[in-house]
Amino acid sequence: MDTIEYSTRDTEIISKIKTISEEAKPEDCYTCLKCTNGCPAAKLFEEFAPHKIQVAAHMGFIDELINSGILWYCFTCYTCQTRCPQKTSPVQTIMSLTNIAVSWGISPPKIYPEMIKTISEEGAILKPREVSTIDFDFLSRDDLDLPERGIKNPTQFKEALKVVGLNEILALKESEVQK
Amino acid sequence: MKYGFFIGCTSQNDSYENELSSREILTYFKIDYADIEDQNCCGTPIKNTKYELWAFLAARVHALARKQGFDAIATICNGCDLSLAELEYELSQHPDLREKVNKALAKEGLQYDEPLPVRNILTILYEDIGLEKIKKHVKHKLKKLKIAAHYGCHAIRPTTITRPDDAEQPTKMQEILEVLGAKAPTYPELLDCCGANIIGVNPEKSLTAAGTKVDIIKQRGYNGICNICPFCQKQLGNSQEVAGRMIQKDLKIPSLYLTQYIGLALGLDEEALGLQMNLTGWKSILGK
Repeated sequence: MDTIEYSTRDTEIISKIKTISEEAKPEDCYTCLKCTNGCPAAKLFEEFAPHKIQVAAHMGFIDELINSGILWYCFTCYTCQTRCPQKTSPVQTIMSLTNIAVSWGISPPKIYPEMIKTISEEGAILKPREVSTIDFDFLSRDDLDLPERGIKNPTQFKEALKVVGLNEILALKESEVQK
Repeated sequence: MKYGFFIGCTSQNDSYENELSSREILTYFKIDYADIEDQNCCGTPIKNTKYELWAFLAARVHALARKQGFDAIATICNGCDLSLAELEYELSQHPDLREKVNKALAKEGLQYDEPLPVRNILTILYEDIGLEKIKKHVKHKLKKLKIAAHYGCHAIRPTTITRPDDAEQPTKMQEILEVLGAKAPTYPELLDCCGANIIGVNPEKSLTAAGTKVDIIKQRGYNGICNICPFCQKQLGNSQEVAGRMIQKDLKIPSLYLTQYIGLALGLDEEALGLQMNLTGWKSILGK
């Protein structure tokens, strides 16, 4: 086992998490493992363990967590939060940490900037698709007589999105592409 | 009570059968609803990257629904339902976020003051329409069917805010399936997650989770799966073939939305319920 490098310790992280989620409370975790035992991601990813994430966040050793990318494997099923006897919330810690990582300029998996770009253009994470029937016909909203969808004034909508950080996220995508 | 119908990204862009069958059932039971015009993504899919952006998107839906004169919002996706339902809870903890959201909304002449009630399709079916009324309208009992209910995580959790059903022992979907004439006993894996949340990050593991659940459902002798959320339905339904490849099993088993099961039992038109888009097949449900 590697020794802990104390110089990487971020003692401010607890208060940063608190500004995003009051419920995360990594400092209250007593590592009973109820969260990890009920976690669907822990069953599929050996290195994913919500109780360890709570402890790491409490101690301030988050560099490795953030750089490893495993935080993005959370299923966001809320089982951990529901079952925690200490009323802490590993899922909220994870969500706070991914938000913090993005605010530090670390690119999330590329699906996220892609979805956000599509939201800014279409109002939704997807563009309307033609979908296959069981007989391999392809149907659109029009074919099914479903009403029109979409943002009425996309320019104005984009201006509003910029107030809540659209450009910061889109800039992340570009930096990732440049790599 | 007039509902503003919120469709959500997945249903309005590729899970058309969810939108079709929901509209069909709401109309059949004379639920007063109309589409929320100009609607956008609820924000859930991107909440873990930038929660300010999430809060704005959820607040915009509430602001639009209120401006358009609705009394409540009807949702047909668990993700959307949670996002819109938890907004006020989150904003009440973050006054600065509320201010920022309203600054963004002002760019479009909108404002968020307080939320409208948010009601999941399961709640509308169970509480507004009710078991008795559904039962009275059943024309073809779904006999000989043993259906595995799948509620979906966000319909039952987190417990910090009101959810459509109980976090550990939900029953409403199963009660509805039973008045249709089917059996819908509970099973140990009832609450297992479909894995949809990481489909864009790690599709192999995501579909392994889905495949594992479908496989155990088959092993337990069920002959149908029931969903209320388009993310869950994609994982446990139309993705069955790929999910089966992940765990080297043949997983074919009909997977339908609750509204489609109800529609079949009411004798509604199959294409109007969007059943042609259920790639798992469904005719065995009616004994065809």
